[in-house]
Amino acid sequence: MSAFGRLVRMSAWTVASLVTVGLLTLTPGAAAQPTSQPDTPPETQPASQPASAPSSQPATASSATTSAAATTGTTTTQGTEKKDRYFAVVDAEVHTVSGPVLRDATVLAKNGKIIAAGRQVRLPDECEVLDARGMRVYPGLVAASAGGLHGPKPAEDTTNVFSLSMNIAVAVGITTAIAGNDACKLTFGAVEDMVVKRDLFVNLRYDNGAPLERAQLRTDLERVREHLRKVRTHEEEKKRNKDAKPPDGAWIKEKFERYRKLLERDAIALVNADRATDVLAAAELASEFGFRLVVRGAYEGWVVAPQLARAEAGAIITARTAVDPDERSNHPTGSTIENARILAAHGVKVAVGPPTASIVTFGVGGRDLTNLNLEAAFAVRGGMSNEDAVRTITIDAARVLGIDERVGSIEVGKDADLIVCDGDLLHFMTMVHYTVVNGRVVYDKAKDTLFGHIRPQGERIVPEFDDQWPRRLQWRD
Amino acid sequence: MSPAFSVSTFAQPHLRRWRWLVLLLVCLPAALTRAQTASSEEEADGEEQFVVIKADKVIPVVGKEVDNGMIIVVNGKVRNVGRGLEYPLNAKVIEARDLVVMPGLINPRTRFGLGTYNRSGVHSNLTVEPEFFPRNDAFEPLLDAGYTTAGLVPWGAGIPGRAMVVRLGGPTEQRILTKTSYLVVDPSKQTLREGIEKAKKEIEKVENAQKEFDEKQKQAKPTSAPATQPATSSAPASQPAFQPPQIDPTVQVLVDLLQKKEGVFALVEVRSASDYLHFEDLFKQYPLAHQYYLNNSWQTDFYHVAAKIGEQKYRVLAWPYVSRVQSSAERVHVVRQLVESGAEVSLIPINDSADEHARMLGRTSELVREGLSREEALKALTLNPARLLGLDARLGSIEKGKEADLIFLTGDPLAAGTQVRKVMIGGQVVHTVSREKQ
Repeated sequence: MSAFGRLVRMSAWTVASLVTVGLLTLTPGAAAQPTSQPDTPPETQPASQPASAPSSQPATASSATTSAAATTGTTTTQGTEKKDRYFAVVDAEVHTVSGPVLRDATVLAKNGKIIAAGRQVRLPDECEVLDARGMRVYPGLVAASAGGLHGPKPAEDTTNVFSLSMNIAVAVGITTAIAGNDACKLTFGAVEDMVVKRDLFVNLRYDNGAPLERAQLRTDLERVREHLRKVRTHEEEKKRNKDAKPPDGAWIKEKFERYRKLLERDAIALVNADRATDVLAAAELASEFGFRLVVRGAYEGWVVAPQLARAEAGAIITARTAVDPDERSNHPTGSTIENARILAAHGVKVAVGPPTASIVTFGVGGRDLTNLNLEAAFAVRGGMSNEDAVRTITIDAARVLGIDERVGSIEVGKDADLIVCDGDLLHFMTMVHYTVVNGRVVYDKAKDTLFGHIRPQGERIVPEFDDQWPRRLQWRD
Repeated sequence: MSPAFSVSTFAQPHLRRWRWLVLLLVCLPAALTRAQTASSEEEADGEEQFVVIKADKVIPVVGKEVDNGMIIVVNGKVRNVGRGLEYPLNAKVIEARDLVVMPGLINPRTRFGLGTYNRSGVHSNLTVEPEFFPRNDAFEPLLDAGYTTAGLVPWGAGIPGRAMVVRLGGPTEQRILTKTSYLVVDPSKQTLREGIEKAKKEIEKVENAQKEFDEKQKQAKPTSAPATQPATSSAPASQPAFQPPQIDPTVQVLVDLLQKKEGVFALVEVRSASDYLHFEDLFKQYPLAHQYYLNNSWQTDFYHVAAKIGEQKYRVLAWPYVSRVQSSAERVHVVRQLVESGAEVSLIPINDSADEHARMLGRTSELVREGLSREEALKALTLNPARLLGLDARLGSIEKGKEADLIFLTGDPLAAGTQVRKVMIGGQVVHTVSREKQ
């Protein structure tokens, strides 16, 4: 073979061997053969994860998915656009308290506010409907004397909205209650829209047991009143003389600021007074300084009812308090079952509360908030009319707390706080079947475990009153 | 291989032409093995440490369980899981044919082995690092219980600080996996709200300083005088850069969360359904990345909100109880409700005692008996905590590329009487449970 031929043969073999070697290295081999870098682990994510980042990146991935979860949370709860929420109770006997009784009527609420109440209400397409055929609708009860239902201030951050107390309270029809010095809704199962009004009252101590406080209060009120007089005079002067100096108001802070609000009728004073002398003193103080007054307790309020009425005061009482009269006194003393009637007859706004201002599940029963409607029934025992007794736990209680523009009666513009019950509110057999707060059903007797087994819906055996106080003609359907 | 051989044999004239072919065939294997080692980039010294585990059953948590399975571990990471796999002759073989192998359990929120001290309030910047000293035996009870990774959290009421994720065994220099993980938040809405308000003020402070600086820059330009110095700057003649005022370090993490910084979230502890609603209300007002730690104790009311939590697809920590409805004997399986509504549940012991860690597998098996699916239960002990901690690329299941943090059990993890026999971290058996304890 020629030299050239040998050269060709050698190079052919070299090329062939290199090609073979190259092919063998690149084809995948046995398991033991290494690859240059590990593959990323398979992605393991929940199936319906929205804006998902692959989980192969360590620290950032979980936060990306958690922020996706968090933002998913915010967007789904807020909704892509704000939709109006409609709620209606249909075909019921609606006791509006502030107006007439509407029969076979519908109450329609939008976003938690009542927008219509009557017989010919047209419901929108997407509306939650509660059929209350054969039942009565009352406004949600207002507990002017209550505690233990909400957490400490600020209630919207600390309240346990699934507590047994709140559950029982909505089961008996209470929808708004006083919590410390605030008025809060019993929004069982939700935390939105809980507080109705903060800082309802300015607490004053003006009873005979604290003479120093009494004197100090008078002095302070006089001082503030004098300052307000000077402010008014200065405003008059300013019209004539522009350089008039305003009176110094720097000392008006903390308690003096509260008294100023009181005297300008922006706040309501709350005085705990039981005995006639104490109630009278508070009433006269309110008349003298012209502030709004609410007296709590007042079992001898009936003695000084005219003075209380003159002061345009309100009273939070327990209708059935029993205290023996003082035999030594030659003035009327002691409690009377007619307390509520007498106060209301004179024009005092009366709110009724129980002896124990909370939900109690042990001990002697019947003294707590569980039977608020029967506390009002005791007022009827004393001669109050049925309608007025219902007002003491609805609209008048709201007026006493200063929240009557929002709750207390079924009127257009007020909050949709309703109770649906199977008989007259003041009857002992009546049970609440549905409680609605802010247009949401927070209690459904049939589904709840508290009273669901007692006289289930359909067994309406609550008898009608065949007597009414005061007696009058009634037509029956 | 030797040229001499080929020369001598093929010196015969009629075979001469074949000598190149024989040479080629003889050199081929050498060339091939050279090529193999040449393409390996793993080890600096070119050596790969192979560990092969032969087990009665392998539970990878993701994927099917493998009977008579094998796990190939290379340099501390899982290479392959299967049956009848091939491995090199120099591999270290661990015969565990009577044991069940599964990923090590992960406790994402614990203070095991750490002490107590007096602290409360908002300290979002603090970590566990100052108190973490990985003594060899400190976490032994957790290893006995099958835990290989833990998220250690600071102590204190309020917002005590950030968690740190550590391995519970192996070389001390490799113990810390994540120095700053999630932010721990106690179930006090007011404390969190106050912390957020403070953080917002700090953000405003920085923004105002920025605005002032920009104003000064604008005013300085037309006069062509040297730029006025911003508050904290000390730069000389050239344009001073904006020096933002120092953010209060105790709320630094809250500032990061409000500014939607990646890589951090708040783990909020909640004690009741009401707490959950309260925090959801707060997060509607101030959106922050967050997940929940549910204290679903033996009496709970979380069933009220289990569906809601699932809808939001939260990652939650939960206790392994089949609870009772409060004030009743009626039982409710909150963990199952959460899983079935779509939440990603991680189970953690009800407290930091060694006993409760040891009871975890038993309690989990009770959840499965009462209806929780087995796959979800095992994920809740391993993969889900890894995902919560953001370490699911490395931990949580036996898959290619993940760390070989495995536990060897004497039987099925959810069977009665199963004990942990061995614990492997990073491919090394770091703990063998002594015979007396078994």
